Amino acid sequence: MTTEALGALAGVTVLDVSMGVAGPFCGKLLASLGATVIKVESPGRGDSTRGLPPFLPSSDPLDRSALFHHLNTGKLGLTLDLESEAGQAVFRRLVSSWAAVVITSDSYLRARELGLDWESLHALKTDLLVSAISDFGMDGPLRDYAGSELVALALGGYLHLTGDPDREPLKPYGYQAQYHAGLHAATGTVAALFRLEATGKGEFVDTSTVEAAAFLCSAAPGWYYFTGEEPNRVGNRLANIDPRQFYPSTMRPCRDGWVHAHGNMRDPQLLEVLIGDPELGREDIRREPKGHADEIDAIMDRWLAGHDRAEAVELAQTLRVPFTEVFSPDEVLVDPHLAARGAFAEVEHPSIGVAKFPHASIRFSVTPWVTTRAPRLGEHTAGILSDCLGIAGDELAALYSAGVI
Amino acid sequence: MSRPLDGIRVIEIGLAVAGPLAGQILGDMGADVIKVEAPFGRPRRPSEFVHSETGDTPDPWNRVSKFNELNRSKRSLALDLSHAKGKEILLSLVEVSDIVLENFSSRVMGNLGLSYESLKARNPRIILVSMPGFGTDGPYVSRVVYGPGIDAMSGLAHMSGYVGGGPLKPGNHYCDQNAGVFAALGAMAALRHRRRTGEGQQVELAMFEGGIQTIGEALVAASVGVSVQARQGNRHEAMAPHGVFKCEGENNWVAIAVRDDDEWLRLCTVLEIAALAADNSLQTLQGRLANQDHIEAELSAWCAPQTPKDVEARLQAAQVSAGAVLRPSQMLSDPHLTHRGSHPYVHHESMGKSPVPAVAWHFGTEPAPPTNPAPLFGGDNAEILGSLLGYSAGVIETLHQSRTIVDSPTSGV
Repeated sequence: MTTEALGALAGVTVLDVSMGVAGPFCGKLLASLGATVIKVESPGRGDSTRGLPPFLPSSDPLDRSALFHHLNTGKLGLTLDLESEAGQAVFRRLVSSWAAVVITSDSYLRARELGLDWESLHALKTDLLVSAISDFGMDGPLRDYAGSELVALALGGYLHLTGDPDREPLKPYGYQAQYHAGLHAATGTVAALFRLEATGKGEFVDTSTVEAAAFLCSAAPGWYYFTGEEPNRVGNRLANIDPRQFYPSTMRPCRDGWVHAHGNMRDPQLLEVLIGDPELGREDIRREPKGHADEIDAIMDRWLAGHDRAEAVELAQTLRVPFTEVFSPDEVLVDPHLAARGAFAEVEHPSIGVAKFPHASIRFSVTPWVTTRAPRLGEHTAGILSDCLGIAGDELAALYSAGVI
Repeated sequence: MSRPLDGIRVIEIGLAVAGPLAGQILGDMGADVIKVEAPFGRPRRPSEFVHSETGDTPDPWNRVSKFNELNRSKRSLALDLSHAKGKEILLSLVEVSDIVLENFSSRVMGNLGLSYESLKARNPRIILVSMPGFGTDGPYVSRVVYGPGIDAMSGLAHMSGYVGGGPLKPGNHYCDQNAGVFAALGAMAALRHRRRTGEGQQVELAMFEGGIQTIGEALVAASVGVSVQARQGNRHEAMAPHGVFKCEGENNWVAIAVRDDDEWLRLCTVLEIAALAADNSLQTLQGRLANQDHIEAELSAWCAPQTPKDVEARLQAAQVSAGAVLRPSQMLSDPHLTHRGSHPYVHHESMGKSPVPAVAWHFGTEPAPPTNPAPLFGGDNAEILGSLLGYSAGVIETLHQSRTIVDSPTSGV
C-alpha cells in the first residue's frame, strides 16, 4: 500500500458500484493513478464481466475472465446486496463516512430504483462526487433505450465510419466505445475532483457511451456541415473525400504480414525515394494523391511483395517515412520496444497465476502508476467493513448469514 | 459559473490531432490555453480548407475545419521558437504558466533548448506533458509515426475486420483521440498532485502505450497462451444475434445486439417469425451461436423493407438493444445527440457558425460551460505579449518586424 500512497490521486476514496466495461475502466484508471477504489459487487455472481470472454484457465470460475481482470486492477473487492434493505444501509454508511467519489453504470431508471441517482446520493452527502457512466446519459430522448457496445457505436455514428465502403459497417474489435467512455469519465471525474477539493461542493459527472462514440467521429460531421459531402467508411484509409488530400495512409500486405503505410506529410516525396518507382512521381499523382489512391496502393504493393515486414518498416523509417507494423496481440506482448520500457506489468493472481497487464499508459516522473491484481469476489469485505465502518463480530456474521455480503 | 481549471494557464505546442485535442480539453475545463504556433502556420493544402461562400478566401489558414474543431477554447500566439528572442518569450510565458503541453517527436523540445530542466529553471512548479508516439526511450524512440500507424501497432487493427478478410483500422484517428484524452487526464492528475505537495513533474503519454490499454483483455489472455480469434466481423462470442443489417434505402443500416436469453424472447415477440420463435434450441446462447447464419438471414429479410429508425423504434419498444447507424449528416440533427450537446455550435470569426465535437461528460449540476471558437492564426499575439508579459507596443512592433511573431503564416506546408 505504500506505493499507492504516492500516487497523483493519493487519498481519494472511490466506491465503484459500476459493472460492464466503461464504468469499471473509469475506476481502474483512478486506481492506477493512486486512488483507493473499492469495487462493490453483488454477492453470488458479481460483475457481469466475470462471465464474459476471453476466458483464462482459472481455479475459480468467477475469476476466469481476462476482461474482468484487466478492467479491475488495483481495486479492493466488497460484496453488497444493494437490493436488500440491510445492504442499502451499509452502502449509505460507506458513502457517508468513507467515500469521496461514487462511480455508477446504471441507466437513469435503474439508478433511481437503487438509490444510486444523483439526487439520492447528494441528499446523503452534499460534498460527494458522483460519476455516472451509462449508455445514453441521464437525460435526452433515448435515455431509457436498451444499450450495448454495438448500438452505442451505431447511434453515435462511429460504426458508419468503420469498414469497407461497399460492405456493412463494422464494429472495431472489443469494446472501443465503452473504453473511450470510461476514459472520458475518468478525465471528467478528475476535473470535477480538482474543483471539489477547492470548493467542497459536490459534483455530478454524467458521461454517455453514445457520446464517446460520437466524439470518435472527430472531423466527419463538420466536414459534412461545411461541404455538404457525406463522409463514408473507407476501409483502412482516412475518411476524407477531396482527391487532393494527402495519401497514403492505409494498411497493405507485404511478404510476411501487413504494414501500415503512411507518407511523410512534411515531405511526401520521400515515399518516391523509398519505393523507387518513377510512376509515383507523376505530376497528376503528386497533385491529387488521394484521387490516385488505388494506383498508389498497386505501386506500393509491388514493392511490398518483395519485402518482409520488418525490412519494409526499417527501410521506410530510415528515410523518415512513417511505416509501421500491423502487430497481433502476441507480437505486441513480445515487442522489444514495449519490453524495454516495461510497458507490461507481471501480476500474480491466486486463481490464474501470473499474467501480463498493460501498465503505465501515463508515465509520471514523480507519482507512480499502479497495476496490481483485480480482487476476487468479496475478497476484502470483512476488512473493509471493519476498517471503514467498525462492523465486526456478530453484526458482520449476521450480514453474511443474511446473504447481504 | 466557475470551471474546474479556472486560473490554470497552459502553453500548448501541439501538432496534428492528439496534442491539440489534449489542449482543447483543458481549455474546455476552464484553463487559459495559449497555443504557440510556428510561423509556417497551419495546414492549408487546398483540400483542407473550406472556401468562403463568396469564393474570396484571403485567410485559408483560418478556414481549416479540422484544425478549428481541435483548437477551440484557446488563444493563439504565432511565435518563431528558432529565434533566440522567440525562445525567451516562451520561457517568460513558462514563468506565468502551470502546464506546458507538447507532442513533438521525442528530441525536438531538447533541440529547441526547451527540455524539462530548462523549463523548471524558470518555473520550479511547471508541469511538462509530452506526447511522443513511442515515448522518450526504447528501440523505437527515433521512429516517426502518426496516429493511424499506432492503431496498427497496438493490435487493434489486427483484431478488427470482416471474417476471412485482412486487418482493418477503425475509422478516423482512434489512437489519436485516445491519446489526447489520456494526456488531459494525466495533466489534471499532475495538477492535483501539485496542489497537495507543491511539486511539479514530467508527464509522458506515449500513444503506443495508450493504445494497448483498450485491447487489454486480448493481451492479458495472450500472455497466458489464450489466443482470441481475430476479425469476427460484427459477431460477439457471448451475444447472439449481434450484427448490422441492411435496411431500405442506400447505405442504410441498423445494429441489433441481443444480450441474453430474455432479450431473445422479446425480439421474437416483435419479429413474429414462427421459425425462430418456435425453435427451442435458439433459446440459449449456445443454440443461437450455433445457428447465427440462419438467424442473421431471417433478420436481414425482416429489416430489408424497413427504415433503420423503424426497426430501432419497434425493437426498442420491446427493450431490445437496436439502433440506426447514423451518418455524419444525421448526427448533427439527431434529437438525442443534440439534446446531450455532442456537437455544439460556435461562431468562428472567419467561418461563421460551426459545429464542434464536445467531450462525452457533462457536469450535471450546472449548465454547459461556454464553448469558444478556435482562435485566428496569431490572433492573440498583442494581447498575450502586452497584457500578460507587459511588453510595450513598441517592443511588440519590433518583434513583429523581425518576424519573431507573425500575423499570417509564411509559406510552408
